[in-house]
Amino acid sequence: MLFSELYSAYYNTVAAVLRAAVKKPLDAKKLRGIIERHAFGESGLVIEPALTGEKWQLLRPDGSTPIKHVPTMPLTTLQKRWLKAIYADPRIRLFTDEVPELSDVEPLFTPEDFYVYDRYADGDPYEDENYIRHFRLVLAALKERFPLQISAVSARGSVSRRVFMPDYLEDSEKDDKFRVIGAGYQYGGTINLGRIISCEPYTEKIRESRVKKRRAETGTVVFELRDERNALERALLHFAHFRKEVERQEENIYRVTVSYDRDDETEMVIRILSFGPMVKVISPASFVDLIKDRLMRQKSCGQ
Amino acid sequence: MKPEEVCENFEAYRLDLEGMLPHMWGVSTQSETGERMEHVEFTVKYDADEAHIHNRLEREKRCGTVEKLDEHTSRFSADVYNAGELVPWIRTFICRIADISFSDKALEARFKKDIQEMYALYGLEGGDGDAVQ
Repeated sequence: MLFSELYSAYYNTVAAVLRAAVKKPLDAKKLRGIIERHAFGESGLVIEPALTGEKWQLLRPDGSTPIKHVPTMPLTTLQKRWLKAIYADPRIRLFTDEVPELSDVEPLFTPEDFYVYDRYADGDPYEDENYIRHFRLVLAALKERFPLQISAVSARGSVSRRVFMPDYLEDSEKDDKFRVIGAGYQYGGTINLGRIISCEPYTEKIRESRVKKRRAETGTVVFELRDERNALERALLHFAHFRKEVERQEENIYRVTVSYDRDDETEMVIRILSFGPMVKVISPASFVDLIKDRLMRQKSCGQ
Repeated sequence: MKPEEVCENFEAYRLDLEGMLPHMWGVSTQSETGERMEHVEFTVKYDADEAHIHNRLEREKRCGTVEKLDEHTSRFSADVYNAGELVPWIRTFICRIADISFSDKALEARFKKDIQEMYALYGLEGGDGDAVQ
């Protein structure tokens, strides 16, 4: 059980009320305002009368409080144990150098308690100093909206240099990588943080006319799925993070429509191939051709 | 084990698991044939500008070994508790699987039959015959 009522909305709301009341007595309007800001919509029905009616003896009828000091909310042991567990994740260093020791508690869990069996072997080097520096710069650039000059090596080994305006960061548990998505000169797109060789703030004036946004093109593929060998459950799990529709056609035949980012089309092709004859792509014709092409090449492979 | 029960032998089980991990692809620790361990190996072919295929084998393999046989060929092999668990992954290499072999011959036959069925699904049957040796 990770929840402590000590940190529920009610406690936080009353703490906010007391923080204000310690400085100056509260009138009904101010009191209501604080409750509305911190608690749920209907919470005022409980909190306000409990405080003004002195059921909770924390406010006097004039809106002042007998409490002398601003209330503090120390961490519970459970919270400290949770934090200690989270701080053991090497990725925490991407965000801060100041990791509290919390020497008085044991972590709630350790990285050794988890085994991610389908994680790829070439994850990002989260503890590498250059990686950390690049990550922090990208994070600062997207928060403070300044452009970067980035050199990165491509999957095929060539180095590209570009002016880039980061929009957001993505991470993949399976790839064990971060990537940044944004706009840039000539072309926008996606840069894997692990592929960055150098990254510096771009100090020259940005010429807006040259900035190209990443074109987030969405593709859709429709396939028929034969629910044998547990294929439906496996497919729903496999495509869990894609937008999709599933329609039952016959007893064990389903029509599945999946939307995907066109940049990831090859990935989608091989994901579909992994289901073997349980899945048949229906449309679009261009996608059917991608599958057919691979099958044709397979046919000639063993000869 | 039941939730909220303290496991007295936790460390011993963890050690057992560590010993088993080199032979686990997914979560299964039992074969369909009743054999303790099953062998699986396959080779993939690729062009000179497709070095990333070898890298894919390296980064996506969860156990087993990958060898580069020549500039255009790599082989994956593993001894696992349940070779059936590898089938979906192996299928992602369709278009370049030159050779495949399972110690469980029934599984091997099913793998090849599935590929034939895929050809039929897209009207590609006939012609070259069995493409996977």
